[in-house]
Amino acid sequence: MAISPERFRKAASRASSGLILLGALLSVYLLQLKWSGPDFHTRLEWFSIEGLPRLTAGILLDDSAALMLVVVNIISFLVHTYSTAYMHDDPGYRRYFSFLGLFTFSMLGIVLADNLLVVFIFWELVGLSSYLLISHWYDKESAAKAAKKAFVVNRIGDVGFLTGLAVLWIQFKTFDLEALEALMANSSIQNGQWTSFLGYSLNADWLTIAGIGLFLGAMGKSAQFPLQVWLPDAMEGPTPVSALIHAATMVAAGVFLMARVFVLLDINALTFMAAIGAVTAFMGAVAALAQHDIKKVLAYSTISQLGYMLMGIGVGAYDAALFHLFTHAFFKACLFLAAGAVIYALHEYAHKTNAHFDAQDMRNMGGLRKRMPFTFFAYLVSTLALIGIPFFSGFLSKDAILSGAYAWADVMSQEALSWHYIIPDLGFFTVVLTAIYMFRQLFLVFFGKLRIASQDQQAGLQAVKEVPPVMRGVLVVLGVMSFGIIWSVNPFDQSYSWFLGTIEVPTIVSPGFVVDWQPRLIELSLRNHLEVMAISMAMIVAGGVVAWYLYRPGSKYERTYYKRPATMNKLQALSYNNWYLNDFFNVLVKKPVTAVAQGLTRVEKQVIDRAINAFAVINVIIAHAISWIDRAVVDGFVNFSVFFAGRVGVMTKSLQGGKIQSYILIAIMGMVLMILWIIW
Amino acid sequence: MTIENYFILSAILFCIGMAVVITRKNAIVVLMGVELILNAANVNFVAISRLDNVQIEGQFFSLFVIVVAAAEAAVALAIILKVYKYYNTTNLNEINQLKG
Amino acid sequence: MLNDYLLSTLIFLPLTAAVIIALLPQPAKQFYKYIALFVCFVQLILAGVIYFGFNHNLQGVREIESFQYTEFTPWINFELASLGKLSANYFVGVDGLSVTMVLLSVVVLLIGVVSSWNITEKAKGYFSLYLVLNAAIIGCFVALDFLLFYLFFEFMLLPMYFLIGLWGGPRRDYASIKFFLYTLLGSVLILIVMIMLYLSVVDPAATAVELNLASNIENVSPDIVQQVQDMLLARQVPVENLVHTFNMVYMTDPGNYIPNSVMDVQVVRELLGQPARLLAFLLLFIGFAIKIPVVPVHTWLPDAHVEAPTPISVVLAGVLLKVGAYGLIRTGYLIIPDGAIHYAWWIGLFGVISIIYGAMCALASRDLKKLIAYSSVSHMGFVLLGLASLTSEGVSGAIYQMVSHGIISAALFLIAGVVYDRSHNRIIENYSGLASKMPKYSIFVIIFFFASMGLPGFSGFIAEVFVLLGSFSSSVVNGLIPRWMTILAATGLILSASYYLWTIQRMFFGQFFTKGPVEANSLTDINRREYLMFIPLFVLALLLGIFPGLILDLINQSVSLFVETVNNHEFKIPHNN
Repeated sequence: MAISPERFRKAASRASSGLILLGALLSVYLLQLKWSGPDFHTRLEWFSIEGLPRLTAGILLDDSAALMLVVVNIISFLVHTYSTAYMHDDPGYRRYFSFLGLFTFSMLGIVLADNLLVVFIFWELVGLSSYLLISHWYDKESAAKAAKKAFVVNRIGDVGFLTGLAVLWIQFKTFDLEALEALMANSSIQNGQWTSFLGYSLNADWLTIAGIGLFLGAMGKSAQFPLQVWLPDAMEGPTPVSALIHAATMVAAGVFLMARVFVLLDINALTFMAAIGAVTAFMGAVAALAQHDIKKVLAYSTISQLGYMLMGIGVGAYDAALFHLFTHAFFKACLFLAAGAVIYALHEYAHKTNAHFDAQDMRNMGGLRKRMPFTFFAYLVSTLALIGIPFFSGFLSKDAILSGAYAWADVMSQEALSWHYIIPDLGFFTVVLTAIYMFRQLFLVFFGKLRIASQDQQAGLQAVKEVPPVMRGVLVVLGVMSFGIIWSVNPFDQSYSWFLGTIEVPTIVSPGFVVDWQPRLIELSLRNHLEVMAISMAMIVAGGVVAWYLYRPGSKYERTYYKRPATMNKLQALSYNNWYLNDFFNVLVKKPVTAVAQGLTRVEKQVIDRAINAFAVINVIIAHAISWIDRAVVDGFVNFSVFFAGRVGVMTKSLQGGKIQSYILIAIMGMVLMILWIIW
Repeated sequence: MTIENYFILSAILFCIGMAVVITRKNAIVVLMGVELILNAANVNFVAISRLDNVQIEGQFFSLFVIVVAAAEAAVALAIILKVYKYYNTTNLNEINQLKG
Repeated sequence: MLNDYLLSTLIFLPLTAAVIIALLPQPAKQFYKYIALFVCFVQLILAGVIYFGFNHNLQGVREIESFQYTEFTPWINFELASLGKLSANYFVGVDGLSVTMVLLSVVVLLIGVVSSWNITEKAKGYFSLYLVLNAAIIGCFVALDFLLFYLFFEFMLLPMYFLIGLWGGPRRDYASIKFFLYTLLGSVLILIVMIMLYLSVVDPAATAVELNLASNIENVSPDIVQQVQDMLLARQVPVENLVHTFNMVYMTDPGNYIPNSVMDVQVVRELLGQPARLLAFLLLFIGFAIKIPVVPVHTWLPDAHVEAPTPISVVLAGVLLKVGAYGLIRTGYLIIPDGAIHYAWWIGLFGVISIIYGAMCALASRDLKKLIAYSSVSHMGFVLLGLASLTSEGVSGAIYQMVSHGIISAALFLIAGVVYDRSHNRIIENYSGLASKMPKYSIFVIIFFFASMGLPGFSGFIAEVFVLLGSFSSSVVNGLIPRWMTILAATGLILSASYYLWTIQRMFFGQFFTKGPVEANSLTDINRREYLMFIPLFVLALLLGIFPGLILDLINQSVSLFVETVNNHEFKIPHNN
């Protein structure tokens, strides 16, 4: 793709879309083959290290993987198609499509891999393609920074992932998922020692650490508290990318991973996951309330929904979480692509009217419903799905999670009042917030008047045009997928869904697990279903009413919205700045690390190097001293003997001064001496 | 008058002569010093000859010395004269052809 | 026939070529580089022969007969009366531990010549020194005689000193002298240990001949060796019949140590109040640590790298650092395993410190080349950590990391060289948005930066993962390395991502502009010669990332014997009672 010549750009992109379509069709075929059948698993030997079991790599296709395959392929195909129109003027067109292809490849790798190490490999590759796509417009400073941030924050999670892998490795010496499941079932905990079938033994805490480590990886990819900071920034990438990677598929990889290792987790790790998920769902929803960027609202909403999913896994509602993953993939992709359509339309509008404004800022929008009916339809449907209105897909899956969470709280608290109830309560409260921020966006974007036109421009709303047919088509397809009827015959009861009917919750095999935990959960969640539905309906209505009151066309907020500053009060600031998590990270991580790095460099320069240099200087001084001694003593001795001989020579020479008298004197003295010697 | 007195005289003469020979720079004065030394020897010869009344070799010897000394003085003076002509000085310090 | 002298050819070919270059008249100037290129290319072919002819099942390590491509020629032999006999031989050979290093050196040295293509100043000296360096490096990796090893080890120093000192940057004098002094200090420490070992170890085969137990060395059977060792232990061998040896393989066998000698394995001898063997290990460790380099004796490295010309940086990072690690494996670990185990905790700690410290310093570097130099410190820390763990995963990972770092860091220094060639400036802040101006270059930069930060699909990933797994499992296998070290080391991965990505963001992304002395017009995209250097390295890094078997199959048997030898050594662990 990247090497295809420029003039074939269209053809090349079509070819890649076509290949993805082929992939999608194949995956549907596979799904149909696989559905409810036995799991498909094939392994190839990859490499080996002497003395250890061979490392294999292979494909493990179970129901959830087959479904995920379909979702990834279909959404990827739709996004490819959408992008041919959305990106057609972009100079980096070919690069864009090749990275999109790389992403799809690696995502499929995650889905199909049978081996946690291979999952990790594709996991990182997905991170790479995300990095490359976020920095697609690399000459934009903010995009470059966002890309870096996304990768680095993900790396933090990956370290956790690696730790988890390492714990599993030392216990079981394999990464193969099926083998791990079997080995985990054969391991036991006794007296706080976790002993594996192979005879290795660790403190039981390491079982929890392994789970939390793996979950940390998921926290990075799926933007869970406190690692969610990268996702809003990642919106710097092109909108189709946001739809594919940062809403529908990659961010869901964390959830998918957790589903794959679900059976290996212990109760503490699950509880931790549920708590983090609930907190994230709530925080994301709050942060979405006060955003002005159309994509940011959706980004925070994604964080919030991912929180739901992980909460779902954490509370043991495995099937519900996966269900929500799939429904969410479609309606969130739809929302993003619709938002992309709005942005595209406003860009065209800006071109036409020579206006300069931020095409993503909702303060400039309004009333688009009349000019962009297709987009509006798609947006409306998927918004309703997201909020969880009956007859739409989100209702089914979200209620499944909530009833699971409620049942979990019942089980965990053992019918007594405990903190566990906070988790479903946070979930319910988030429903209210979801309704508020989504209706707010719907009102502000599609209802009222086009604010930018009414304030500044001559050309009015009429200048806004619906997007090209390709994009329209994609939106409609995705919009249709948001109808509840696609997913369940009975729009009020998710248990009628073909999806939940087939996906079976696997039995957790990690040692130390209470055997009847899972059956009780299922039983309770079936029982509390109506109750939960009623509560969440009430919540939605409450949220809807509040939103209508605050943001309806003609309300005070709507009238002053164009000139509204980013934040009006502290609460809004808290939401707008995403709980100040960025600053929190800056102060707590980035600054200390930078300071330490600078400090170490200085230490190196001033202490180590100085010590070395001082050592060298001392050496030189010693050398000088020695050379002085050399000159003064050793050489001195030599010189002295020379000098002495010279002096003697001079002296004897003077004796022979040619002066006869001195000769005589010496002769006499000699004689005298001789005489003296004789007579003594 | 014991014989020691002659010896002492002779020794004094010898020393004076020696001193003159060594210290004086003028060649002629040195020659005079040499004469003094010779005479010191003569004094000794004569004095010792008195102890032996039978033979008078001592006195002969001193006469012989005087004769030789006279001849020697003549030759030496002639040489000094030549030296003076050659070097324009009789200062022994300046005549250092023997310098090694 | 060729196989018999393969390694010698590998060593002496460049040496001969160096002499030829030195003798050629000045007008033949432009041929020097072609000669060097030709020689390195022939070496590559020979290395290919070695690779494909290498028997994966022979272990080497401590079994003298299972080394491959061995050559043995008596070299220095004379009687020392009451001190017995001195015997140093020209003994070369490869096993799994060294063959990878030879292959790596040959590749990196070839790339180095290509990268030296534009050197015209004093070309004669440059290329002959380069070839001498080449010979010394290969010699170091294949020598099995300590004296020979030491000779080559020292031999490397001199050309390196001149290559940095004469063709380097503005502060080359300082850098080259610092480099020289540091490494010389290391060599001295190694020399001390070498002498200690020499005094303590005998050649059982030659001693057997001296004792008339066998007619010549070829006839010495294992039984006779055993007999000699028993006699040695019982002190029945007359002193004048002892044949002292520098043979590194004999040094790994506790039976060859003379009772009551300095390095005696039965009784703990003390030197300066320390058990002598531990002290010897410490000396060896420090000596090689300087070369690896390990924090805090690493400070010569950034200076040397910054000042050295690009090809020399490439060789320095690509191969020379590995000599340190290889030496530690071959001598420190195998000859004094008791010391290695005794100090494993500290070695691991220094590894972790190097990882974190190197990464931190890289984060704070303003100079691109310095950043890469510090990243080398950080990555070599993984080698140390893997070695310290003494598990198969860890040691395999460490050797893999050596190879992988050799390839990737060579590429990274070439990258720094590309910018420096064009603008003579390496300060990161002076550049921005190079991706727009030099797109092809930027692609390679991004590829190699990601490869270096351990992106899966490239060789660094496999290496780092296995080092981490190995050091993590060390706690259950042999209890040498605590788990927190591994977790701390893993955070090095975050830091490496930070400094590379930050550099990409600052230098390559954003609007294009240059600052300071940098001429915007001088920045042209990479040319064909530079492609020629980057592409092979890229292909290698990728191949080794996807098919780790290419390297692991070579080293597996040796590593497993190595790990077993060191973990279950029969040397008495010295402890003070």
